[in-house]
Amino acid sequence: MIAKVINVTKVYGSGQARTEALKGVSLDINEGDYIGIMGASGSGKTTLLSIIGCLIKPSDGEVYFDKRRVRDISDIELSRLRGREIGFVFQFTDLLGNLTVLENVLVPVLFHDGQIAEKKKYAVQLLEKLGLGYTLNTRVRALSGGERQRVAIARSLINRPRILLADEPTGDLDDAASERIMALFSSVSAAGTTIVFVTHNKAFVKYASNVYEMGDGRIQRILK
Amino acid sequence: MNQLQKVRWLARRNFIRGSFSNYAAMILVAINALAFFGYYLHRFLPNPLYTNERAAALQAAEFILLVCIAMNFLSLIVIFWLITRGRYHEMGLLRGIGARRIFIFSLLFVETQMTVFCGMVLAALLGLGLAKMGFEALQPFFGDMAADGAFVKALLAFLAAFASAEIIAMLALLYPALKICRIEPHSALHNRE
Repeated sequence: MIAKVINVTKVYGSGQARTEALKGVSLDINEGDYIGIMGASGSGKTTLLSIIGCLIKPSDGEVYFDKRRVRDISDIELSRLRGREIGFVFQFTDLLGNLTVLENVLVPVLFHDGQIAEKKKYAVQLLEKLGLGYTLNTRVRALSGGERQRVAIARSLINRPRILLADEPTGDLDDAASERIMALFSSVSAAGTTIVFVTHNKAFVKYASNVYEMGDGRIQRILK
Repeated sequence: MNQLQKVRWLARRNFIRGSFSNYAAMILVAINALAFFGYYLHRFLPNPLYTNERAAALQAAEFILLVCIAMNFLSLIVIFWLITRGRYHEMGLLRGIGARRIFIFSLLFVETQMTVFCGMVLAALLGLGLAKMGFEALQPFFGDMAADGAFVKALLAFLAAFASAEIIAMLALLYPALKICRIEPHSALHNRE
C-alpha cells in the first residue's frame, strides 16, 4: 500500500468562516492503482488530493504514506517525499513564468539527487511525447493554457514519481488534447506508477481502475 | 551539481529575467553604497584645512548620509517585502514540488547577492565619476591628494562601503525571507492573490 487515508476530516478557518471540506473520508491507495475522483466543485476533491500528497495535514483522522504516519513526519522529510515520491499536477497549471519550458520541467530535479544535465534528455523525451518538442526554449508566458498544462504534466513526471496526483489535469484542454493526456496517464500507469486524478468530466472514468464520487466532503459512491 | 549550484541555477535565471522591484532594489543598494562611500571617505581622508565652519558643514553632511542610509534600509525592507509577497505563489509552488525551507531562503539570499553585486557595480561607476569630480573640485583646498595615498584610502573606503551595503541588504532581506519560508504550500497554491 502506498497511501492510506483513515476517517479524515479537514476544517478550514474558524468561527463563522469555518468550512468543513472533508467529513470522515477513508481511502486506500495501492501500488499501481489508477484512481479517479469525481465530484462537483467544493465537494472536497482537491483537499483530499492535497492531503494524500502531504501538502496539508488533516484536522482529524490519520494519513499514512508508505506505511509512515504523515503526522509524525518532519517538514524536511515531507519536502523530500513531495520531491521524490510524488508528482503533482496542480489545478491552476502553476509554472515558473521566468523560466523556459525545458527549465520548468527540470525544476523538480533541483530537489532530488539527480543532476540537471542527466535529466535533460528525459525532459526533452517527455515534452516530445506530449507534443511540445517545438517549445523547449520558449518562455512559458508565451504558451496557451493547454500547452502550459502539458508542461505541468511533464514536470510532474520528471523524477519518475511512485505516485502521480493530478488535479483536473484536462481542465484547460480541448477534447483531443484531453484524450491524449489521459492516454499518456494510462501508459504511465501501465509502467507501474500509481495515479490519482481529480476530474469533473465523466468521459474520463473509463481510464481509471477505481472511481470514487465525492459530494459534501464525503465519498458518496464507488462508481467503479 | 551540489545544492548551492542548484540554488544558483535557479537564482541566475530568476535574476536575469527579474522584475522592476529587483531593479529598484539594485538602485537602492547602489545609493546606499554611495552614501557609505561618502561617509567612509570623509572618515579616512585627511582634512588639513578644516575651519570650524567647514568641520560643522562636513558633520552635517555626515549626518545627512546616515539618515539617507537609514531611510534606504527601510526602503530595502519594503522592496524585499514586496518582492517576496509578489512571489508568494511561486514559493508555494516550489515548496509543493519538494523545495525545503532552506532552499527557498538560499534562493532569496543568492538572488539578493546578485542584486548587491550589480548595485555595487553601478555604485562604482557612479562613484568613480563623482570622486573624480570631487577631487578636482577640492584640489585647491587640499592640494594633490593622490600624493598622500588618497587612492589607497579611497579604495579602502569603497571596500568598507561594499561590506556595509552588503550587510544592510542582508539585514533588510532577513525578515521577509524568513516569513516567506514559513508558507504552507497548499494555502499558497490556492490563495491566488
